[in-house]
Amino acid sequence: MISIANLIEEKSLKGNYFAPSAYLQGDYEIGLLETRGEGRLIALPEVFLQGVFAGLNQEVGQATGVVLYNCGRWWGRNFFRRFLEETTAYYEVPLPQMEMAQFLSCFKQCWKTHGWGVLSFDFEYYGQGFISVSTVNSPFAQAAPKNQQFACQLEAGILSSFLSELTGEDLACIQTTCESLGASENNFVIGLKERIEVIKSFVEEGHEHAHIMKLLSQ
Amino acid sequence: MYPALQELIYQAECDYLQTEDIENLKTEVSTLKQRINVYKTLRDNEVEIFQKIANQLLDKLPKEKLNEIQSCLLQWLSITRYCSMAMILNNPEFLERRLLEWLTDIVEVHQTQSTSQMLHSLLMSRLGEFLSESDITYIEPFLSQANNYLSSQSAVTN
Repeated sequence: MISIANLIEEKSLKGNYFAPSAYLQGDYEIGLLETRGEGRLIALPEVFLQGVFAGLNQEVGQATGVVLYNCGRWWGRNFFRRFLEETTAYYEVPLPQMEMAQFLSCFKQCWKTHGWGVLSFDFEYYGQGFISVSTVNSPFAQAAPKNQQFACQLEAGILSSFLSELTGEDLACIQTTCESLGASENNFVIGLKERIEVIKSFVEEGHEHAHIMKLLSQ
Repeated sequence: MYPALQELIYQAECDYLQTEDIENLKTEVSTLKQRINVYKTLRDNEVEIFQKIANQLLDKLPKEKLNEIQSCLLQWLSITRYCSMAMILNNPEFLERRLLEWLTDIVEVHQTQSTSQMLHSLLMSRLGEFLSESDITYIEPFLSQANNYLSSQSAVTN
């Protein structure tokens, strides 16, 4: 016997917290864009991102990727905290009791609503200790100089610290394909730093993402 | 919010609405009362509608895990609530953005697509006991949209 009255009483029937029409709000009179949880948002114009790439390239050259990755790590830690506060408050469920599928679906919707493109997870190699993530329409890859180098280090940084906070492990993230280099999507591998370090040499040898995942799991 | 009305408002920015537009506006407004009545019926009979469906599901799927049936019922309770609001707004996009996009990933993990489809058809026949044929035409497109969306999205990923 299932009691519908009890189900409705006990469980949340809420939908997508991050739906753009509900999530993006603001007090336009005083120039504020905000989330529905009252976190401040700002719009980053494409030329600003182009300026970041150009400025960093001029100032630190080869180290641009490392700087962006570390910015992303810092950003991701704070992003995780805010994401967690907003979602657990809205769905009235603490993180340990939130279903993983629901958590990840919220994360994907959040990513999309912030205008960072479309994100997907692939857990095929989770058993071996790796998570594969892909994004499409990355604003960073779009603003970066074309056909030069991987351009999504900010996203890689966010993903690494977000998933580190979630799992309690110190995880790193390495990009394996990039839209700025002509690929159809940006692929990333997340895992323990010492276990994924080898990916850099696989990438240099020119292996495809799918092949890199196979090599990793051998 | 109301796409049909919004479009008319945009058109009226620099001109008077033409006869055809006024007719569209009239239709939109005149069916609103009926849509609100359907909304109230669904809202006031939610437990009664779904309790019978829950019992039917338990009879039809004796081997299915109880918590899977429960998740499916929760999903459809939620779907019906969002469909009801989408019906008032006459806005399929409201349903897609506010619920379906987000729900698809969750349904996929549970692998409850076949139970979900069964629930949709039980719901459609159950609604016939509460709503007239013409009333059902207001809510039916949105419930079908949800059912098709959830089954087609999971077909794509599988």
